[in-house]
Amino acid sequence: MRHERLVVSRIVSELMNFFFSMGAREFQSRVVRSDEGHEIVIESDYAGSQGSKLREMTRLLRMPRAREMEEYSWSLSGDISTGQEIYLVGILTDTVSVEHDEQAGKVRIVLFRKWN
Amino acid sequence: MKSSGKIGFEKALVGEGGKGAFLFSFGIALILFGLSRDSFQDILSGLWRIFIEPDYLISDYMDVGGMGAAFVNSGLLTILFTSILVFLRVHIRGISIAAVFTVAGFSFFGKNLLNVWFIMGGVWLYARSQKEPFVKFIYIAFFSTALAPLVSQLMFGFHFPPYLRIFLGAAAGLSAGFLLPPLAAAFLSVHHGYNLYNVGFTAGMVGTLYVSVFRSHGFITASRIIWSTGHNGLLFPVCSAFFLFLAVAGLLLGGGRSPGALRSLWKHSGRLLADFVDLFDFPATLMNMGITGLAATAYLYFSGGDFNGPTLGGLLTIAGFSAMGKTPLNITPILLGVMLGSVTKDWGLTDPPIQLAALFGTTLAPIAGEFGWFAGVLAGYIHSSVVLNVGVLHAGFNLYNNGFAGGLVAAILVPLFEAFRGREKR
Repeated sequence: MRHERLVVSRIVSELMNFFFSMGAREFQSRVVRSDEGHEIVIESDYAGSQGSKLREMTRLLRMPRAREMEEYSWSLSGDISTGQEIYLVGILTDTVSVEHDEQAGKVRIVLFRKWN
Repeated sequence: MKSSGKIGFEKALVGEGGKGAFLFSFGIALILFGLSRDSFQDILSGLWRIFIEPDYLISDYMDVGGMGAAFVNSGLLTILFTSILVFLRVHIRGISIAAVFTVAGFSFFGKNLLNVWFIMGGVWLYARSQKEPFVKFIYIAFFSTALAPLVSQLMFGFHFPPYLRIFLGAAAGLSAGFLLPPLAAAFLSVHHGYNLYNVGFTAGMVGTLYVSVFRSHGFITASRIIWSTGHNGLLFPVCSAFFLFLAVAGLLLGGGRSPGALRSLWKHSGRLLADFVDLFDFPATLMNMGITGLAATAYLYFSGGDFNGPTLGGLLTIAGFSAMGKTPLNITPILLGVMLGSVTKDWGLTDPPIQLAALFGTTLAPIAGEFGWFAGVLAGYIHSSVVLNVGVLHAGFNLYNNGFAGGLVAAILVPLFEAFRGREKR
């Protein structure tokens, strides 16, 4: 895809938007670019007990990548966030791993997006 | 707690084959209904008239070619476009249903077996030029057929020599299709996904560009309304039965899980890209399509509207986009806004353009879903004025005129609603 850099930056933006809407005080992101693609690592806290929202986030992040929808939809991610665009992050990435420490109120997400 | 890996579609209640079979069956049903309305010979001659008739807005194929030919045209295009998805091994999602139903709907007033392929070809050429697979642009290609009337107008609407007409029609279609993919993505950010017919907005811009060039060379097409009436006795019960069937089928397929999933679905704002099949599974989506379709059918009937090609297109498009954004809850405020307009403005709900403005104005349903009923009513009210003024820009060559108007309305209203909504929501 021609806009690979933009897509990756919007994925990070979308998740930052999401976690700040969840009351996060500390959000960290790390992006590693390799020959295979981009690895995006997100670590964030959140406020209160929001287990159900995070379970839904995890479900949406686990949506399979949909290359046929990317050209149509990628520019929506990282736009005005209503918290529903996590689905877009899901269909823009190939693999995902979510670690949720409910007691500490922290989440670690590792996403990978292959080059096309 | 740790979760990893992507969800497999094999966990879906209805598999890939089932969803594909649904779309194929829909196409076959349209054809069978068409064959039951007219003789085979009449349908063939009707299809020919549909091919050669310039079909810019509003050209009701039920009037141009007869009811049988209109249904057969729609059914054949439904099957062909579904076949393209299957051939390209595209996973059938909400957007697939929205795209196929939109093609089916507009095949009653503007898209036909001849004119859509030039636009599709243009998108294919764009994919080739970018060295990208065509499948990545497949939905843009499907929706881009909104500009198909450009092809018909140039091929059959002017008195040039035949070879020149064919060349100009093909060139216009291919070039319009070539321009649309990069623009469709760019224009999404103008309305932030609150206008469901995004390609309609883009096609309106491109159509405006083309028509401006035509006009400055002296080629001005007169506006017209070809609008058949007298079908309510047949088509109202048929539409009601079809949408009721979808709702009941969704209920049965879900095995008791559909009502709960439907309640969750109705809480969704519907903003792009709300793919209900992915998010809530196929049975609940089918129920939503049926109930939303029934609501729109009831609105059309009780507001004194006509069931014909264009309004059938509106109903099918609403049902299709009920797999990607529309629900009874978020379309109702838009319809109320148009109805309110009929009280204060100098037109009535039964005027043909207003019937279409109400049905296709539901492109703005996500505004009601996200910002509430008042915002939805206001959006519908304003949209019903804007849509009557923008058609002249593209001279009806963009079939998704309401998508064009909806994009303008959303582009203005959404930032205002965002600015004045509660601080914690921002």
